[in-house]
Amino acid sequence: MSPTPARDGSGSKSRAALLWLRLRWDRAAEGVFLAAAAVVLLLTYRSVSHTPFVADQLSYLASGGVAGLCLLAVGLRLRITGDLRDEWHKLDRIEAALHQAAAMGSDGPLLVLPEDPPAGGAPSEPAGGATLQSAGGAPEEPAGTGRNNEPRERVGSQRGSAVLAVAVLMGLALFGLGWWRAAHAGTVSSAFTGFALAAVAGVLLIAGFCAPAVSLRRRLGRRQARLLSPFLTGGPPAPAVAVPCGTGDVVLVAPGLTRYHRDGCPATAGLSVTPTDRRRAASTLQPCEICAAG
Amino acid sequence: MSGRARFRLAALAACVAGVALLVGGLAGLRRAEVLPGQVPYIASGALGGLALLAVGITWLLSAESQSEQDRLAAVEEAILARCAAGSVPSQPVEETAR
Repeated sequence: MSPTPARDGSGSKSRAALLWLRLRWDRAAEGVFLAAAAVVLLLTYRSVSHTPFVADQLSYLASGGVAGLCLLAVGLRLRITGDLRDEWHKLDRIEAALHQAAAMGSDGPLLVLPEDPPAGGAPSEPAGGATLQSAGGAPEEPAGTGRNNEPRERVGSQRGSAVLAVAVLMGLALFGLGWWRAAHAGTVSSAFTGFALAAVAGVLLIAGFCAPAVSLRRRLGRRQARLLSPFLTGGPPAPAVAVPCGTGDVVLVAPGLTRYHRDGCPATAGLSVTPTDRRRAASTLQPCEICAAG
Repeated sequence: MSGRARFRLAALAACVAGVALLVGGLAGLRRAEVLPGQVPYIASGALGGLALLAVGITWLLSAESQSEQDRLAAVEEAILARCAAGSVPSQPVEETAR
């Protein structure tokens, strides 16, 4: 029996939802963590405002307040690392394109790009989580030179994971101690001590969650500079085209590009470009983000 | 308004709301005369304000990262177009030779 069209529609929707979840699991998890944090913080406020005893209020702050902020930090860290992972995959594709260019343009060996500088304690290369945004619909290609660094990456990853685990364990232990002390306090000063311990634990936990993202951002910047600076500063100059001066509505287009560019944009270097009206180009092409042609 | 512009606007709104909560919490804290009346302002104004501010700043950074990804996509496209046109960037090869 063939499925009905309605079933087909719901089936394709659920497939699309599953695909989105598989590709964007970090965004979905971020939403879950942010919602959980909001609920925990609201419950904390409700509990705090419904008791007249300061010691009880501090114990609620030590538990719900700190836990809510930690949940928030985990959710936000997922978004940041998801973005960084997407950028990393974009660089993978650029590196593959550079290899393709070198292979096509020379009779010599394939382009071998310089290795990444040593990454002390850096996290591992992002894995999984393919990007939804593709440039020009090209298929995802594997990185060309990542394998040389694999052992070093693994060591960096293990070290980073160990530091993270220690920070999280210490934070959790301190958090439990602070909450216990605040919850069983007989006086305000003892409850405040418990609250302070829990607050320090919260800072430790949040720093433990977020430090790998900072390190990954640095590595990404180094890799981006290594890959792109030769490309953007060098390359053959763009051929001279007669672009009318004083009219901001003239942009450059070239065959094979899905974006339109301003005169002098490094992305058009070496290409035979054609000046055209910006409104006409904008109807079919996207503005270039490098030269801010939009 | 594009989706990304809406996202930036939401991030800015979260930042503004966070600052407003912090300021409101501080005002409430100063108005309350006894300690039990002050703590709820810490729970709502300080924690809520910090949370909203953190969300807003992270979302702004995320929007910037998405713009960066667009720039990277443009670079990839330009390299592939140069491949197709038979013009190859030579600088990375020179970089390797050094």
